[in-house]
Amino acid sequence: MRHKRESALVWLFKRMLVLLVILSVFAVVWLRSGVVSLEYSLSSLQKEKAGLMKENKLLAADRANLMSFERFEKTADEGFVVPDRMKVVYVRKADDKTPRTVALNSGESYLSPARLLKKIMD
Amino acid sequence: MRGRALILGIAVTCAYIAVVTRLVDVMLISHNWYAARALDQQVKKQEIPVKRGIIMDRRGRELAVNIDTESVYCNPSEITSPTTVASALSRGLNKNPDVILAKLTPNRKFTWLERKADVEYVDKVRALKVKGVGFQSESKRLYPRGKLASQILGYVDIDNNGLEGVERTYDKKLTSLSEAVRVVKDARGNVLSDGQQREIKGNNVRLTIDEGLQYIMEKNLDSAMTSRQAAAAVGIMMDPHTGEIFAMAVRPTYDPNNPADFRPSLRRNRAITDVFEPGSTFKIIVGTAALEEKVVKPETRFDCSAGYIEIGGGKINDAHRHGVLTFQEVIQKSSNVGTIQIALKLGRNRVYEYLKRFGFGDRTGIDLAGEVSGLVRKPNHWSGMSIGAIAIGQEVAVTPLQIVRAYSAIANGGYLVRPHIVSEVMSPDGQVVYKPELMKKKILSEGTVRVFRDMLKTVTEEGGTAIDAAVDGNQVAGKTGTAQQIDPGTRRYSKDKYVSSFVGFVPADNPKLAMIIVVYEPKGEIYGGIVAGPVFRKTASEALSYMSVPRDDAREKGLQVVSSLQQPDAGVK
Repeated sequence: MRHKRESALVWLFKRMLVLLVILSVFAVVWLRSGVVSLEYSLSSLQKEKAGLMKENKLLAADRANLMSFERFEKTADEGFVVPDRMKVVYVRKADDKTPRTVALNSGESYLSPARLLKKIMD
Repeated sequence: MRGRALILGIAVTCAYIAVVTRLVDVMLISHNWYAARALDQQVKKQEIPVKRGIIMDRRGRELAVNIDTESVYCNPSEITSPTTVASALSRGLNKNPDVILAKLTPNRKFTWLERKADVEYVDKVRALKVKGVGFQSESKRLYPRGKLASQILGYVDIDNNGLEGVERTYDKKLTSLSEAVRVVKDARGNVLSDGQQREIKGNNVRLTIDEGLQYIMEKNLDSAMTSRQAAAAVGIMMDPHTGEIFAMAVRPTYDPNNPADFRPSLRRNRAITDVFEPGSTFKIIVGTAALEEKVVKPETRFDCSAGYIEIGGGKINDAHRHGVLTFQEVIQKSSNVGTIQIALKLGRNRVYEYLKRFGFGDRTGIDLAGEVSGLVRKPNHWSGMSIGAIAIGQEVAVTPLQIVRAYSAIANGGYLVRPHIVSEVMSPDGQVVYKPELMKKKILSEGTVRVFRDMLKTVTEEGGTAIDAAVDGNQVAGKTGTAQQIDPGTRRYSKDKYVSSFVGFVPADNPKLAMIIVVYEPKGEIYGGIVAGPVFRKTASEALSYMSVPRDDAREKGLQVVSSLQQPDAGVK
């Protein structure tokens, strides 16, 4: 009786082993196929990325062309005009901590740029 | 029934044994051979595309970039009917079928149909679905600013090798060595990606030029070319203290996007490759040498009343007859007679010594391909007339860059600087890998520089030869030059071909820029003060405004009050 039970266990074990081997083979094949499929997907995404990068570079080149001075000159009604230096007030910070302060004439108390502008406008 | 089952069993077993035997052969016995064959078919070598670094101006504006294009190739051995294919391709692409047919000759394995083709072209060819025709991705150089700074930038050939300008000089830094990787491909040639996208990038180059200043210079040279109906024009603007070139323009010019459409002479950077006799701008040599050697003082007087001087058996005239002139007036009025008298006081050896001291006859060392050294003969090869001719800028051949460098020495306190066009070279990740060394050599004393600078200021004042070069708001120090060109036919001075120039720096006492304008063969007026002077004035005026340089009289006019006593920085960093 005991012998019979043992042989049934061996029988079951053998079949399970065979099943395991078959499943392992399928798992390996399935995994491998998954990797290949992923590689195809990656390749396709890379192609898409390359396409977008290509477009990006073209747009960047286009932007560089549109930002050229020649383009400004053609687009602007009055062409390229540099500022009239008689209408420019140069302001320089004394240091990084002090706010910008200016005055119209030397000797005058210093004003903030906004107040100076108001004074000029008045 | 049992017999049949037995036969079937035996057959299945035999088939099974056959399959297993074959599997054993494929997987064990001949495994290496099959593995090698599979590897050979699936794994291919693929070149990693090399992208040339970009070239930008000093503020980072792109002047040369890359775009991705496709090239069309074919394998003629795969094409069964070349005539039909050539005909189909020519119909779709408006190309001569004979030209295409010539490329489809069957004894070749690979031939390009079109390199770096337009998108429309590629789409049309792709739509034809011709067997044996393939597509290869390639990087194409593009100059988005068109003709701007074309002589500086240069251009590349179809394989992206630099041929001229910065593209040539910095070719090795802009590009990198090509590498190849192994990729796995399927039976249809599709790549099985490993997830890595590889690209080799060259270093980026930042120039010293400023697009705004370059544009101002080019626009004004264009105007001069039109108004003076000149054959050519050159303009150089540089920082006299560091030798950084802000702008360098040559007219006529070309488009580096299509260099083959233009004559080779238009692609030449005349500012460094072409020499000319400078005329009166060369009087800086004798003038500074005389002061440095204490041969004259500003108030030393010279009799120029004859209007000519005889020297070495020849006669050299003044453009206008003057009376007795002081040394200062000799420079202001650009008297040939006075200058030659000073040169004779110096003697040929000292004149030659100062010529060399200012770097004439040697290359300036600018980092651009094709620079020439000019022509300066040694004193033992001079004729009796040479000392007079050389003193007034004849019998020497110089480049515009050499002249503006010489005047920069007056502007910067007596130092000869090395002009340069590249500010820095950066790796693709932004690290600075190269920065040119500032090279300068003391050639004149402070005293000489101060006195001669004051003399040059008078040139643009009332009584000087270049009132038209004066800039509103800032004092200009400079000198005019008018020189006859040599007629190549007669090998004598031409009677109607002149080179008019003006070179100077501004603001005179605190120079922010040194500039030379050279106009070749102007029609009508020929004098440097009249032809090149106004171009200098307009260009300098716009450049100073662009650079935010205050007027000299800003404080008096109440235009500028700053919270510290320092002047604001110029816009150009």
